[in-house]
Amino acid sequence: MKRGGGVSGAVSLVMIFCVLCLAVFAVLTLSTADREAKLARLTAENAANYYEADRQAVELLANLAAGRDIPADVDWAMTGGEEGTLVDLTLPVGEEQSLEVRARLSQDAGSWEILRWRSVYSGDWAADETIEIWDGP
Amino acid sequence: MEERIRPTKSGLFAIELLIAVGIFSLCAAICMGLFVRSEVMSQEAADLNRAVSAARSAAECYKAAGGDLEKTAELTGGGVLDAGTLFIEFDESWQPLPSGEAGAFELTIALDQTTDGQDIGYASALLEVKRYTRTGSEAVAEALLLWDIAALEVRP
Repeated sequence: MKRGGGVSGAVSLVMIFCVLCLAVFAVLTLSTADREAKLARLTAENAANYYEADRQAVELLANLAAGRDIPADVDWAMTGGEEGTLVDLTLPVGEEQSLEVRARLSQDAGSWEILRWRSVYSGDWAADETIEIWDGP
Repeated sequence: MEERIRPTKSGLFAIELLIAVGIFSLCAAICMGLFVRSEVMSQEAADLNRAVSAARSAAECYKAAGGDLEKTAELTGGGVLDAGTLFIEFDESWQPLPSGEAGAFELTIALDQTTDGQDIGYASALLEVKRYTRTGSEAVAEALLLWDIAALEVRP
């Protein structure tokens, strides 16, 4: 390097490196934020589906207690017993989940005792049998 | 004879530096735009997550209270200001505010007026979470969540 001059191309190399770093970090940040936004939307959609099924279950139980008609497309079963009438309901929550409800209608007050109120996975699944697991001697 | 000006090394270096700074500034401006966009998206996702969390909590309290808004207000905070509507206000960092104070986010549970007063065995309501953008005295509301919820009425 001569006095008063500079290394020809060094500045360009440093600039290219800095620009590449900036571009890579910017794209990574944007893709992370995009995935976060998609996950948040999915969570919100899932919660909305759950509360829609929850509302339907409440409405169905109230209709059953009052002796009103139940829509034909609802998956439900009723069994009578000494302690009261048992009702099982299964309602879809989105595409791969369902809400399972089991409730007992007391004979005197006409109120429900909730025995089960849970969301379960109802989609298809396949067991992974590719890993060899030691099953004992 | 015509005199020709020969470029010096320092002159070439200065031109290269100038071009490099120009290109770097342009790329940096584009990348800064992307960073800002990412920050906005990230903030919106965080707000939506907090809104879902607050809405779930309020919905479960509503169900536990058997559709009674006064009891729900005791569990969740907030207040029943309008007839049949529970208001819960939150600040920008989702901290609950005292009843009646205007916040950046608002959760409301409004009883279904069409079934109100009828003995149908359950209480139906509309749960809504809104974000308010305030400029001066004007406030623009944007709906984040809108759910239909219902609770079996608790009988003594």
